[in-house]
Amino acid sequence: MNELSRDDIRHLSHLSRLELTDEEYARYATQLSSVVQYVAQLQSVDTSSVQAHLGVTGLTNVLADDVVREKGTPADIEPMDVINKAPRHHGRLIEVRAVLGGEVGAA
Amino acid sequence: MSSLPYRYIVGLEVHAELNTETKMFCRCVNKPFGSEPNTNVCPVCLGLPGTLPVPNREAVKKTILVGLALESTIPKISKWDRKHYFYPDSPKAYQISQSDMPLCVGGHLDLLAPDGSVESTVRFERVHLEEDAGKLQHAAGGVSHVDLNRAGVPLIEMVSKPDLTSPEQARRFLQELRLLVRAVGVSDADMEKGQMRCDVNINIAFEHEGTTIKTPITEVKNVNSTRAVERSIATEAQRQYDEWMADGPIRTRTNKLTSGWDEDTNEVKIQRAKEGANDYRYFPEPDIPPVAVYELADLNPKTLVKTLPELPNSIRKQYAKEVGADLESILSDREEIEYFKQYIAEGMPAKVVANWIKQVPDFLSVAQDGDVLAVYGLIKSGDMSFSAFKEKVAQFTADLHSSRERTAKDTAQTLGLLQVHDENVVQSAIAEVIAANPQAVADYKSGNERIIGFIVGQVMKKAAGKAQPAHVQEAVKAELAK
Ligand SMILES: [Zn+2]
Repeated sequence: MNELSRDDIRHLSHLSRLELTDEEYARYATQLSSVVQYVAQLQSVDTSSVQAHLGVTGLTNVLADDVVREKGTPADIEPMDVINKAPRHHGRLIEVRAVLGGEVGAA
Repeated sequence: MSSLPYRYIVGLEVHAELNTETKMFCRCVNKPFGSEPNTNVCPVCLGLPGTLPVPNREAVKKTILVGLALESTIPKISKWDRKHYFYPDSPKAYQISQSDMPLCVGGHLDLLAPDGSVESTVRFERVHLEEDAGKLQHAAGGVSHVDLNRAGVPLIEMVSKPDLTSPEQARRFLQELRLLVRAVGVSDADMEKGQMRCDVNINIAFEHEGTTIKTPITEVKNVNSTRAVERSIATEAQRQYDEWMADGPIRTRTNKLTSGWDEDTNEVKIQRAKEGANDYRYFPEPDIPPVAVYELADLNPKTLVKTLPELPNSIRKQYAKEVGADLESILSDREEIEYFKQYIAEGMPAKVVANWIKQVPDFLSVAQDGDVLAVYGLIKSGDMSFSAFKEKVAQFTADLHSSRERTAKDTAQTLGLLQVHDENVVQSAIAEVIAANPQAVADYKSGNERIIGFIVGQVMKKAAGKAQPAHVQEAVKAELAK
């Protein structure tokens, strides 16, 4: 599937919630195809003797204890600073355009 | 069993929020309820750029415990994946979940008959760990409000195989699973608070002109009570059958439908053709290394399995026959399960313990070492009746605990609950009553055993408060048998 069709782009742009024009469908089909073809060169490498790995760091078991962070640590932000940066908010609630009858959450 | 023209094929995907202190990938407080909106948030769970999620060790442990309780296989390695979707409840536009290498694989949960025997077995596909989404409230004026206190709360997903064959069985299965996660102590699983939620996968099979028809699956989301599970399955199955019989599009459709359960109207609302699994564009989460649980002392399943509490089905298999219906209410309360097991271990009969848990719960909850057995000893020996004890249980408890030296017998004495029994008085009273009532004695000996109540009553009267009815009854029987 090195050559992406306009339908592929339509599908991808839908999944990414991007609104594209017909001209853009055509342009991105060409551009994205060449990206895929470039990466596809990897398929010519013989990996039969290489073990599959699950991450690039080689680490396992990086876990954190179930303890609430202390005040003053970097992650301890003032939430209103973030809420105020949202395009719209309603008190402490972030306001978005209603999404009705569309996707349900993935969880 | 069913007079319906079709068979149900049902599987459940059950989500439960874990009761950890902190969220899944950040150290925000795990408290989606009772906080001001957007207070328990940080750069990680807000999905801000440049942040690094770190999995919660305790959440991993609790997930493994659930897997062990279901007798799942716990693989050597499991990993995290990103599942992409766009919805305002997910600030990152993906959910960190587990796709092909979950923490727990397989497993099963048995549903038992009232006598404790296995009635049916529901197998599991998997149990994996992921993060919950935030909450959306639809407001007036075409807007929604987002609260991310729940975003990133640890969530397990328990996926059954399509082994369920009726709406009632599915409801029972969900209740049983709720009981199990509570018994293991990993989730409060309150469905009204959304701590446990359920998606139902359903299709039907039936014979039609000599072939077996299987309809395409509908996934019903948002089925958030045990009653709704039962209703939604019956409703959707019938809808599928009707659509098929009316020669509707269900005859040719091959994809899965996604729908939502509307609790107010009792309707299944079809939403869209489900995006294929690839459309979530799963890929390995690059920021979180895999988990190798057998390499960690505190997460090693071989060690953890020994810390599992006794599970409801094991308790049922031992005591369901003896205790009967009271056992179910005990099983739904972890504290009561503890009392139940403790006092049985100390030598009280299961039936008696179950009865006390129902009748004198306050006494059990404040009882100190030895109190319960001491009281039971008085009742067993006939020195005090249970009904007299129950009537004054509050006073009894207060008096018993008024000083360290106070014994149960002292207290019973003070409150006038002791039934005195003077064997000499009783024996002479029996002799007198027998001598005075030759007709009653003759009746008893010729087979009218009920007359013994009269004789015992006479003896009690004569003994004037120095006899215990149970002992008198035995003594009278023994005397008349001579
Ligand atoms: Zn956070």
